[in-house]
Amino acid sequence: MTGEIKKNTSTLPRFSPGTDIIEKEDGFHIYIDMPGVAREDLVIDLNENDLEIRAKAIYPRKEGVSNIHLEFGDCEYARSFTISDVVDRENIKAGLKDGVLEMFLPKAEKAKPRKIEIQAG
Amino acid sequence: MPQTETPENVADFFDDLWSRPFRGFEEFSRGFTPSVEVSEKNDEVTVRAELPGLDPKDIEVSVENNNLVLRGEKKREQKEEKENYVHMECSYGSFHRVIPLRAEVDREKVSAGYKNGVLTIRLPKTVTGRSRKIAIES
Repeated sequence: MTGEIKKNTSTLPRFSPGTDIIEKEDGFHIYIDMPGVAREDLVIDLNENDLEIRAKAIYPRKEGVSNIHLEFGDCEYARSFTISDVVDRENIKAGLKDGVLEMFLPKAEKAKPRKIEIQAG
Repeated sequence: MPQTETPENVADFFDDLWSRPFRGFEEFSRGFTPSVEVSEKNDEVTVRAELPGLDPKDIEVSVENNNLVLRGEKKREQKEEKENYVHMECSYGSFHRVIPLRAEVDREKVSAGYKNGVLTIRLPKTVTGRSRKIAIES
């Protein structure tokens, strides 16, 4: 486990969003809950082995509105992963839908399972 | 949500999976409770709820006894064969949340929208502008 996310320099609270990782034969499927995040407020960077995800959820405020009860609000999401050579980094895909970031990290050919044929003796 | 800035290693999740093979089942047992925000202006109450990854068809919104009631279910993707849950943090399951409303609202004019995983419900008040300053007699 190496690498570090840069210090939080904004005034927004920063959260580590809930993440599910599922391994399938073809690769790793990552689901990250990021409610309130729009496509333009999401940044995904891959630097060497560090996959860094940063996003902001901003809720526009209107005049004359008073808050009665707050359990969430404007915030930053940050999460990073160190990926190994098992991942084909050229073909990583990402999509944001309904506040969930879905990423697919395909396995490199050498890491995919393959059947070994048994020669007749 | 815990604040953290620690990077993670996918390989470590594998190690963890093999050392704690039933970990996933513990985590699936946790329920899902959406976080809510209630705000108010002179003529309207607005309620927002964080519901990432839901289909609006799976969300039920109603006003009962001047409470806003949210019901629904956050479903996990169907498990296929030959897949391993490497790391699970997200909560899934049915939810039922009751939010008391401080003002009477017009139930016929309540509207709801869903965007970026956030449900926004607008509830117009039936009686507006009831707040006033109270003069203090000397």
